[in-house]
Amino acid sequence: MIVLEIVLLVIKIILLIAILMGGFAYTMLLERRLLGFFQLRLGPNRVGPGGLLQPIADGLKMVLKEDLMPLGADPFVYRLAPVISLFTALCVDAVIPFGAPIHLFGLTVTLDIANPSIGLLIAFAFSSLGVYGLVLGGWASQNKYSLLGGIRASAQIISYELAMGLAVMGVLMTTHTANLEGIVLYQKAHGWLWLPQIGAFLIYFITGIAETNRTPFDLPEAESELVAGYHTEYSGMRFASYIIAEYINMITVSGIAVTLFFGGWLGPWLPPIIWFFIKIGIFLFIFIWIRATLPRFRYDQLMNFGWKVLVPAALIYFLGTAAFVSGIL
Amino acid sequence: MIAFVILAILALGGGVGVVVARQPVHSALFLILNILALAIFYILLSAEFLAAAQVIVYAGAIMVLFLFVVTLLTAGKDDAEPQEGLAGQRLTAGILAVLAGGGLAVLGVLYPSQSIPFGLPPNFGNLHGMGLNLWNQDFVYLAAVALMLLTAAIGVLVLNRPQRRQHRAGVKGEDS
Amino acid sequence: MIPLNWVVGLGAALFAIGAVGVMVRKNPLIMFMAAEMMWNAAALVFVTFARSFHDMTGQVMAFIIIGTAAAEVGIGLAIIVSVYHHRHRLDIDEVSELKG
Repeated sequence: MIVLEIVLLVIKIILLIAILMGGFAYTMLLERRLLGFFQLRLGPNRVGPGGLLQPIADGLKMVLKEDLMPLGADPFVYRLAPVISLFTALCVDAVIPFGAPIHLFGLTVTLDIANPSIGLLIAFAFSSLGVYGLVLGGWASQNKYSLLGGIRASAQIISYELAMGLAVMGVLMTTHTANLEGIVLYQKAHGWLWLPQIGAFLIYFITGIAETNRTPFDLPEAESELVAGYHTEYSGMRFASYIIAEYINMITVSGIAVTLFFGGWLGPWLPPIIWFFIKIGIFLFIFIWIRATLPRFRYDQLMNFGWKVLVPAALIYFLGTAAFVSGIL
Repeated sequence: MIAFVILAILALGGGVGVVVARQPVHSALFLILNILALAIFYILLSAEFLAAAQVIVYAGAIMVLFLFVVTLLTAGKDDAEPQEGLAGQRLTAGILAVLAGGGLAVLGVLYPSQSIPFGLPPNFGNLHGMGLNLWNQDFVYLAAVALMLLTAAIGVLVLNRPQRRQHRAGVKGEDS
Repeated sequence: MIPLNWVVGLGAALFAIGAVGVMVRKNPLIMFMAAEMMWNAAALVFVTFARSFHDMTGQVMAFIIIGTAAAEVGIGLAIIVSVYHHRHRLDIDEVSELKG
């Protein structure tokens, strides 16, 4: 029995990584095609039918590129940084339940790698480690622009993590559990949480965009000011690791938003896992839409917005939820 | 036992690394290793909430702040430390450390074990248990921590008053 | 089951290493990190005793340590940064006189 469970766990881990990698490849293609349409051009459509094989061509190009390292770089930290980024990005998804438990060969299989009682906190712990990849990569490159990108990343992510944590606490208080599966089951019984927690959801989504360094919060890699920010000096697969980490972080943020506010895998007619992917797809589309629409913040605007708007708003919503849950209101 | 040995090696290696590393960034990396090893210890000691808090607060906020300041202040400098100083400082420190640390460690190891192996109370160390403790009999400590963090945030704002570098001031009041 | 006595010994060893770091190094940032390690060692011992006596109070103490460390790092780094703005060197002996 234990052997069977270990085999099952390994299969689930491999499947999860495969799904995330495939998700990354096609999110990237989707983003390039959609950006093309938003800007009244076609986007990549030459490789395969409608450009569907473009990710393979991109991957081949990345693998075959030369791996460069600047002369003054710190070799160990330079090699370690992209690994940290990719590793933490993949780890967060281990606690997200992708679907309702299914029954196979008399076994109940939950569609997540681990289901700890503090799943939400574990997801936060891993995603808060992800910033090390950016800071260390920027520092180890021994390049002014990279360093500035790394410093910007650390300040931005510390600032926005606070508002994100406060926003999520409202869900935690409403559902009385930090277990992600428990949160979905609560929504099955009491209705989805996005309406009662609409303020928390908006703050979560804005901070989620900031945490993944996407436009309009992409100051760490602002290409018009910092060349490419923290990954200026990286090439080949190390550069690809950063990009993969960024897209997987997008999928993760969407996944957690779906789990916390939009009922996770719940939905009529279709199988649960399909519903989960449909909801994630809608969120990814919104990510790309925002990127195509909004210009980038200035750095002081970013800090002011984070500390003077998002944190107080999250705090007020948090206190309101607390008063509501405890029955004072 | 195997887990203990691996984690102890990681924690001790991280600890020694913090002290001997030449670059502050390497020190910070070793400290992160140490902190993560301790977090896994907490899980093994059935303190899962503290493990998450350790990773989120220590590794996720405090050490990022450290790295922020280190990269900001030491960018493009060589970090050779000035060698002058008190005569025999290193030797004295080493002897003191071996005496004190060795003594403490031996005391700790030899101290007769009082551990109760079975029957952990329900909710021991998880979110629910910590909440029950912190909001009932130990509320004083929770209030003390809250007050301390508030004081620290105000102190940081006062220390970095606007005459220069305004953005930095806000970054400091990281909450747990 | 990990041996609790040895965990306490590990905590003592980490505390001693941290103390050596504070005494030997001159870069205030590294001294500060070593001090953090001493906090951490104490928290580890608290959690171990909480496990061994089945009493959550030890874990509450470790919680206080984590909260204190957060407050202390905020203040300490702010002081280091403002000293650096005056002196442009990271050397703890520079501030031994506590004069501007």
